[in-house]
Amino acid sequence: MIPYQLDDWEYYGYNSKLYKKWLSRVSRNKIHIALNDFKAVIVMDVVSFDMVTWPKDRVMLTMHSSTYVDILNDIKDICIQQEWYEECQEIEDLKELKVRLVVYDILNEVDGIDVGDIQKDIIDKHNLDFK
Amino acid sequence: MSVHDDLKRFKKYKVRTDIPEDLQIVIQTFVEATIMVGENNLDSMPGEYLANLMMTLDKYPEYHDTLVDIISDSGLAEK
Repeated sequence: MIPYQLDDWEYYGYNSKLYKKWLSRVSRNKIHIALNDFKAVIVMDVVSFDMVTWPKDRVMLTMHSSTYVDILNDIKDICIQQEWYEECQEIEDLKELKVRLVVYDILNEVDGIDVGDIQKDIIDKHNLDFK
Repeated sequence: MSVHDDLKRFKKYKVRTDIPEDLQIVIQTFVEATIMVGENNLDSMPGEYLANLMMTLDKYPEYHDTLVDIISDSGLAEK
């Protein structure tokens, strides 16, 4: 796969060889970092983000929002194999959060619909705040 | 298949009874609203019907895949 190139940097996407290599070698600590990043990009509704960066080689794994759930599922498969069940639950929570935030945004624009309960649920379960 | 055929098919739908009761009610209401829109040649369905369906599905994580399909098919997330 030919990477996207810009300013001497190479950007690889979902399912690229680099992504698969990263996935095959990912540690528990790196999964924690990735899940924290995912929570931020899901909450901020970021369209694409640089998931992993290797500054020395000027290489990045850049992911589009349409692949977030696929990536979370890939990571979950690894967590199941490694019996890291706490992370599996975190991943399921993130997937649920992604759906609920989309639902909240849509319903919030419909006249006459009270989204207060959904908002409260999201705040309580995912430790978030709505500004 | 014409709209009339779709309506006839819709009228035959029965909501499963092995799902939560509130979900049964919103699905039945949504189907009835769809028939109403078709029979009266309305341009669109009032947003509250879809909103209520989505809000109820949202309560049950096991139906989130269905919810994602509805959001995706309706194109609402792109607006």
